[in-house]
Amino acid sequence: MNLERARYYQENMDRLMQTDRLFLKNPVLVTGLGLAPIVVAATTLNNALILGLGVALLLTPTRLLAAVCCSRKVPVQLRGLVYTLCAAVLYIPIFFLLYQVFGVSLSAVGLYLPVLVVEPIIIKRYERPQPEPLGFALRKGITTTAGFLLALFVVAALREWLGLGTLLGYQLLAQAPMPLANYTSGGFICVGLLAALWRWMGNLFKKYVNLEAKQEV
Amino acid sequence: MKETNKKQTLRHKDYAANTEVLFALFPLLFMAVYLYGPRPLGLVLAALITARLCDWATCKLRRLPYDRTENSSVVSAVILTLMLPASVPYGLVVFAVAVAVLIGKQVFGGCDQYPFDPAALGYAAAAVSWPQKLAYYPEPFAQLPLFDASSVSLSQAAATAMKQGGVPNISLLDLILGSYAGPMGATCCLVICASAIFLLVRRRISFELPVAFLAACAVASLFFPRLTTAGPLELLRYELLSGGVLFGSVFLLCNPTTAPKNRTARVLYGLLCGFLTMMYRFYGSYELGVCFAVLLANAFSGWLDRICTRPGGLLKRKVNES
Amino acid sequence: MTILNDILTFFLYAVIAIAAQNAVFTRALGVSRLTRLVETGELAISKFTVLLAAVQLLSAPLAFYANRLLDINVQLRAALRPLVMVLCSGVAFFVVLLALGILSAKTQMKSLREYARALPLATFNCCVIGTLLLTTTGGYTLVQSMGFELGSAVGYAAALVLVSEGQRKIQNRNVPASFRGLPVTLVYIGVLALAIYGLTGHTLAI
Repeated sequence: MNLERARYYQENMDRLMQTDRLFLKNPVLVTGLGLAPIVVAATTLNNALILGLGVALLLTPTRLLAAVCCSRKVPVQLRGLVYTLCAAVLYIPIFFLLYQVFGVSLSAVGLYLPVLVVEPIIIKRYERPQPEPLGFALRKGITTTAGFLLALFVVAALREWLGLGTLLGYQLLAQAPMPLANYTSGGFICVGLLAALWRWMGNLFKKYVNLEAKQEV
Repeated sequence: MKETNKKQTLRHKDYAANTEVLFALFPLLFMAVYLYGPRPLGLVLAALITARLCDWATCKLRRLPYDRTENSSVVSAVILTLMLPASVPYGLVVFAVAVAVLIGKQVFGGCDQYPFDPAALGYAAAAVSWPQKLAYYPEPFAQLPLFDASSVSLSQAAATAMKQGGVPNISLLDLILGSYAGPMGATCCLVICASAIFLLVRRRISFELPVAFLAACAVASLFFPRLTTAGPLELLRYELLSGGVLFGSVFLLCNPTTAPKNRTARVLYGLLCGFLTMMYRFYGSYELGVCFAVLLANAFSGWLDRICTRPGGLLKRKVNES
Repeated sequence: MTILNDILTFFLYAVIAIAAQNAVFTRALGVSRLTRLVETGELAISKFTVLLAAVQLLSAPLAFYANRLLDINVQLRAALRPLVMVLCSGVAFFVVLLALGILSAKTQMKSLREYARALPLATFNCCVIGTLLLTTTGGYTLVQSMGFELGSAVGYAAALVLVSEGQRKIQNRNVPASFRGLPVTLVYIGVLALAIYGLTGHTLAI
């Protein structure tokens, strides 16, 4: 890493830890949002594709539509209802699109697709009383989606390999190394261990940046 | 003299207690070898090596000094292995012990810090991952091969017959001596009782826990009998002497780290665990329901300690300081 | 006799929803909210449980009858179902808000404001909508739905209590730095989920 970049990271580390939704403040592995579909339904990469596409199509449009609806003074009590209704209304065309792409294999994720309309990762913004500017909603929607997709695919790949010995349905191992990963309890433990690993890698990155920044030119 | 004192002070504070529990487990390992040949010894060795490796690796990762005298993982590994069928593959034992030590103990902070019994967690993880391998047991005196036991003939557990309302075909002598198809080291009730007496005399376990636990199991068995063709004594004998209930009452329930400290809390904890164990035996899907029951009861042990150590005791409500 | 049967069914389904089909430990519904509530301690568990139970009990019959009206094409029903469930829980939300308003006017209790503030959290979460979806897609009768909904609320509260108790234990311990906070809480919940799985022995329908 060159000195300039290292110094930039060092000076802006506090800000990056709040704004970098891909790594340092991943919405799933650091903040703990979107856990329900990942822990239960993300047992294979195929399921992750369904959930990932669902969230990608739902999150940013919901945030934009809700930002428009809440731009006028909406009582704080009703913001949750507005956000959830926006997500539920947008879910209708998204479901038909997903059905066109995946067909009956949507049933593999069961109720975790419709439950996305109330998932904190989609609607959590309603808890803050200030209306969200459209530009912010678009940027944060995209970055949060990216962070969720990263965590989703990593967890799903890990759980499919450990629990079934396959990846995308292709058999890689004769026997599954850890069938526990297929179950909800295994999902919790896998996500917990991955969250710890993520935090450890984040701390390592911070140490590396500080070390590089201290180098004399 | 000074050198001996120096050696003694360098040992971990729980070293003596854990070593005595290992002494108490040794006769059960001996019985396992007597019933099934050298294979249980091989499995226990694999478990010990895995436990020590996991502890060492964790200390290296956390940059802490590795204390060889901290042997709680060794105790958990032996307890866990003795609850398994003698026919399980070595890989399953390694997985179960790794889960027990890494997730059950080290993730929560290591020795004296874990909220769940590691042996119960390791067994539960193995049972859920490979239910077929833990539902069938080899017959005693089968002399299993040391390495590959895939060709050994296996029988269904006693719990399966009891769940269907049938009386298992095991004589009282076989039940007491452990010579029936069951977990390799958790069937010989006579030796378990002797180990329990040894640990009680050495004050490594308290008597309230196993007594309350077995009392709750007995009451639940008598009030909700599931063996319709058996009399009360026969019912009690099968419910209390099979399914690792006696073994669990001594070695899982009495873990000093996870059990409550207060005496009243221990009685309540034993009763709760007994009730949960019978629920798991009646409605659950696994032979050693006591392991799952202990995990669930572990979640209540802190709360029980808190309510029983309030000033005034269990029944007095918190007084508002106004 | 029918009433007795209904009462027994209600309690049976409530007990199943508390234990063997606990919303948090078996289906991870509302677990993001739970980890946040446990970590921040911003809300009393009792207040949240009362609100959750009220919303779930009120929305259960609404969802039951609304689902019957959705006698349409399978795909359209699947697409509209979340909106219908959200509307049902929205109605329950307004009813509880109204009740809180009336109580507040009559009794002048200050704690009712906290209830009103917590109401959106207790209404728009995965536990409420998830169990409504389960009971409507699973073909539950009205009594079964209401029992299951009440049991889910109580089960969620039990999960909150258990995990809070766990946090109390874990906080004072030497947990590795990388595991402090969310990771160790998730592992703790995972172990409890494993314990509950031992009761059913099979993965539940999702």
